[in-house]
Amino acid sequence: MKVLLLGATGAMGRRAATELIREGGLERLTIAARARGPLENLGGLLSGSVDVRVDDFDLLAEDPAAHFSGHDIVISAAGPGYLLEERCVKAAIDARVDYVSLNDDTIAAELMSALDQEARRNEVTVVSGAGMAPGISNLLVALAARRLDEVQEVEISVGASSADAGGPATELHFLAMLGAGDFADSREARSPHPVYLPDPVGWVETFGVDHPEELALRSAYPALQAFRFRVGLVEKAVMDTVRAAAASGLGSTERRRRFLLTAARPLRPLLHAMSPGSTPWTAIRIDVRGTTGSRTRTVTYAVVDRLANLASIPLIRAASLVRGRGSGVTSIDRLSDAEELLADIAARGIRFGELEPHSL
Amino acid sequence: MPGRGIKRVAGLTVAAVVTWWLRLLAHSKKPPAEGHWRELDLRRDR
Repeated sequence: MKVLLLGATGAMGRRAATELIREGGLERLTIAARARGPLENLGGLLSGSVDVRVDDFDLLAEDPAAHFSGHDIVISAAGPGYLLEERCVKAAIDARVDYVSLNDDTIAAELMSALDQEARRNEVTVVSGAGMAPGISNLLVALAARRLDEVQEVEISVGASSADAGGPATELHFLAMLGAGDFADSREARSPHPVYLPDPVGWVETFGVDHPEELALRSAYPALQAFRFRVGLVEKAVMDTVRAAAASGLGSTERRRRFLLTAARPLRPLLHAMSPGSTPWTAIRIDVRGTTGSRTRTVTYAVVDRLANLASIPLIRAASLVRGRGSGVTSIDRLSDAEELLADIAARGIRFGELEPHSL
Repeated sequence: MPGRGIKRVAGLTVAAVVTWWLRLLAHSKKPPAEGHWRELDLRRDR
């Protein structure tokens, strides 16, 4: 298989590259990013059993399709999705190359359905969002849904750490999500909501935002009445600062977001020191409420690990499943049996848990 | 006097940061665990 990996020198991309090599079956791996120096360093580390090539180009400045041609699949760990995803998916369809990404931007995900017909016509499969969320989140909801007759409510909560962040793309996306009016509208969603996640993350204060899972879930579960996505940082001082900046409009444009990230850099050690007990791990929890017979029941699953593992392992598993399907725009839970995919991810050392609530 | 305004803003800022930090300290005392996370044996459960 000839693979092109975008954003290869970022935190997610590097982890995805090693996971790809481990997975095997590579005829050629092209690693791509903007800067040639880090790419060549990474290429030197990866080459050995695999033919590794480097391609330094700017996805926004050049036509991506010209770089995508000649590969069987493009795997994107590049971001943020609101800048790159639509452009990359269109280029993949034009170049007739399958495409799998870590996109978690809601607006970009909403644009994907318009590209479905064209992707099918060109016999291309597109999975826009095959990381932690969307990705593992969709698989866990699918697993929970098996234990219910009807799915009525889904709540997905992420407790992330700014010390475990993926890098500028993840941070820009986070700021955009909180700052560009994406904040879910209701007062209930905006108010802080503590969520219990597996150790070492534990309790995290979360806030409602829009997220792409809603699109796939509403089509998969017609009885779904409510969907909520909540996110919080384990470092409360960082989260408070980000929320204050977002509320004052500093998250509303790309220029402001980049300014904020640069300006806040010297403050980071202080903000981390002000958040005692925080830990650089990321956790995701899903609560699926529905009915079994005449009873109402909630199934709760969660997972905790480094963000790079939670994003990259499902990404590479999804990439190994798309070839030759010509399925158009789809989601990770439609590629294979959800439990089988989760078992494959678990076999890579990721541990999943089910909440057994303490009885009152 | 212009110096009084600056002192007032500086005082209010320090008070706000101290209040915020005290709230952060209070927040670091977490509630008891909601339950027990039982590890999913996905292959066995299948």
